[in-house]
Amino acid sequence: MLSVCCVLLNEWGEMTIRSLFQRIPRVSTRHVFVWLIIANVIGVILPVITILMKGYDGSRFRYYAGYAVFNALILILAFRYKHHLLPIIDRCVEWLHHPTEQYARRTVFTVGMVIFLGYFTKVYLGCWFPAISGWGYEPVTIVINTPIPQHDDASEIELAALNASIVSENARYLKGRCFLENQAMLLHFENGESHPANMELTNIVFPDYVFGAFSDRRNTTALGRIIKGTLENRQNGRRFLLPERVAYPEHATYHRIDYSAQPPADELKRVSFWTVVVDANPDGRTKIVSAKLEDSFDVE
Amino acid sequence: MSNETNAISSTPLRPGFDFLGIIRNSPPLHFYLLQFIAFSYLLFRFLSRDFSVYGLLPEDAFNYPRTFGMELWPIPLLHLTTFQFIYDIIPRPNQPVILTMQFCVIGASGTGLLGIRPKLCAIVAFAFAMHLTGMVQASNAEIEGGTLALCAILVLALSPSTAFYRWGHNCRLSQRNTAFHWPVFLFLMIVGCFYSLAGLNKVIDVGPHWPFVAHLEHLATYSIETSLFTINRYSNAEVAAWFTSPWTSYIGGPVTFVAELGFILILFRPRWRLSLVATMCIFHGLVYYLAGINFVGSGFLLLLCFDWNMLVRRGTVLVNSTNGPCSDAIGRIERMDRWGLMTFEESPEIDCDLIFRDENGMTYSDVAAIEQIAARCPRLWAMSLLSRVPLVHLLVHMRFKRQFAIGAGRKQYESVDDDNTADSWRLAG
Repeated sequence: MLSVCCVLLNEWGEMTIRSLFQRIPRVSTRHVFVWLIIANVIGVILPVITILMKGYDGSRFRYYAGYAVFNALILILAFRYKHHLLPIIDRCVEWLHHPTEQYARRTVFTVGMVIFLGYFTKVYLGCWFPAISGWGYEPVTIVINTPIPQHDDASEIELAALNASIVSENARYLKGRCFLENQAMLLHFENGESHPANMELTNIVFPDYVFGAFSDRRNTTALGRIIKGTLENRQNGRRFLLPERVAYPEHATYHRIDYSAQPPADELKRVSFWTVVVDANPDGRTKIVSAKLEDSFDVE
Repeated sequence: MSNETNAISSTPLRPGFDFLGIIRNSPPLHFYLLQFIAFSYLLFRFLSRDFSVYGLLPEDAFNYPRTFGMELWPIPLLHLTTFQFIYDIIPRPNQPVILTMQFCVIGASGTGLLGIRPKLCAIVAFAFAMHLTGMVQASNAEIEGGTLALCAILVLALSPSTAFYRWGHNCRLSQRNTAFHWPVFLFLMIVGCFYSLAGLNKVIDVGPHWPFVAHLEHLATYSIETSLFTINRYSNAEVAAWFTSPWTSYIGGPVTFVAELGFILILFRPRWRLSLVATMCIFHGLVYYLAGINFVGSGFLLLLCFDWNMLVRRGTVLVNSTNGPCSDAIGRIERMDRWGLMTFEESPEIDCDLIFRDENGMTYSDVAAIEQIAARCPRLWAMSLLSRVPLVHLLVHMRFKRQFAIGAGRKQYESVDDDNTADSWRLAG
């Protein structure tokens, strides 16, 4: 029965896709040219409207204005060199309408059009997007200069856990001794132990968009349940169904933390987020000199 | 595979007008590899990630917070294409339902990998994978490094069902059909556009001077600092330490820029594929080590950019019998042709010393012919691979071209690229 369903579904799937492509109206050179122009006009209008409605300036203005100018340029070139462009489109259309292998030709042509028109209009389709943007890096640092904060919100156990969350050996790549300010995350268990963790436990690419900034977490009920579930998975040495060592990491990859020595996940009681200052010394000991509790929530 | 299809596909539209060699008989090896790698990679991804966490998030978490690129549209169109809009009508699925969807992708990928109803599996895997990706995009990330995987599965879903290797069917590598070729071309076109448009974006977003304002040294310095904290995204301080000089950015930036912009050339210049693919693999590796952003899996799919069919495409070697050393070498090569892909003929009439003519009628002379021959002899694969390195190719070409040209100033054949996509593009012009 299942096999019959599979066969029917398979045939239906192929027929549907084929008939879908075969129903595409017979396009002409003029059609393609008009689509190109419409896509470019959309590509000019949408960024301008976005800038005007949202009042962007700075990098966002530059980003959207760049696309408007690019599309405008393509538009001008398309009309200016129409006599060169039309024969090229004409060839594509002629190739498309060749009587052999119609399904192949229509498929390739349609996908090609989606790519190019999608690029001009900056459409995100889920399985396709108009490629990764370009950017440069500004000088950003987490090095802080005096006065060094002197918070001591952490108990002795928590301080040990916070120190355990530091990868001291990487200090040797710093140019010299400095103070670094950063965040830390701790898991607190019923037996009083505290251990370091990171947001990789959420299984979410950019968790801050869902759970807010580290100092002001939201959706904490869901966050607690997710962390608990994933922690159990990691303690079993797995990343979902595969062994952690061989599994494919998340798109945004975090430092690997070994959770196997931590108490069982069902004893997880609380999660806390900290701002810490580290005295990083390439030639000596790296330690936490300030720890400020920013936020915490109980896990249900 | 029917001979009828072959006969029809060879009907010329205009003499030589079938540009890019899209509709062309081809061996199945490359398509089989596409099927194998695409299903394997999707399976690997979905076995490694737990999408069921999206079943625990509240409704208001799915509000497209990362709309930097897509906010031009009043509603992100992926809300429609990934079928997220159905949750405007029905409640969002809970954990078990999402887990079931994920197992559908896993099951379909695994079954497709084994060759059991592969086309149906591709359709099912694509539909559910896209829907689950839509949840990621709706809640936190506009992309999640799986675009090429989805595109590869989409290409399989659009491919004719006769093209797949199937469980219980005799999938001979000796068969030829157009159905094996155009899906591979489609995939290469998508990959080529993906990278080239990323290069174009750099021009539009920053300018053609992007390599000189990218300032990777700033990223490297920041990566070293943050590598001390396990809460941060992964960065490898040891690798980052190599990039703290602006010169690494000035050198690496232009290489990346040129490789990205020129990536579409994988369709037209097969000889450059090794350089382009290697550059992009290194680039993905560095992005992983410096910024903790994982595109590394795309490297599996980038391997599909090579012309794997060359390993099974048959050909004829024509040797000018008046050239003694060349004739002797052919005897040795004949013994290395383990798979019997080549036939050897002596011909004193040809205009150069050595000609290789493959089954598609492509003709290669002298050094280019040696490269083709090397690709078909397992013992010469290292040589074949090395000849794809631009500098090595140039040196070999300079060295041997002179030697071949000693043959009394005979006309040299144009050295043609080694794939069946390149020739007809030239003819099309």
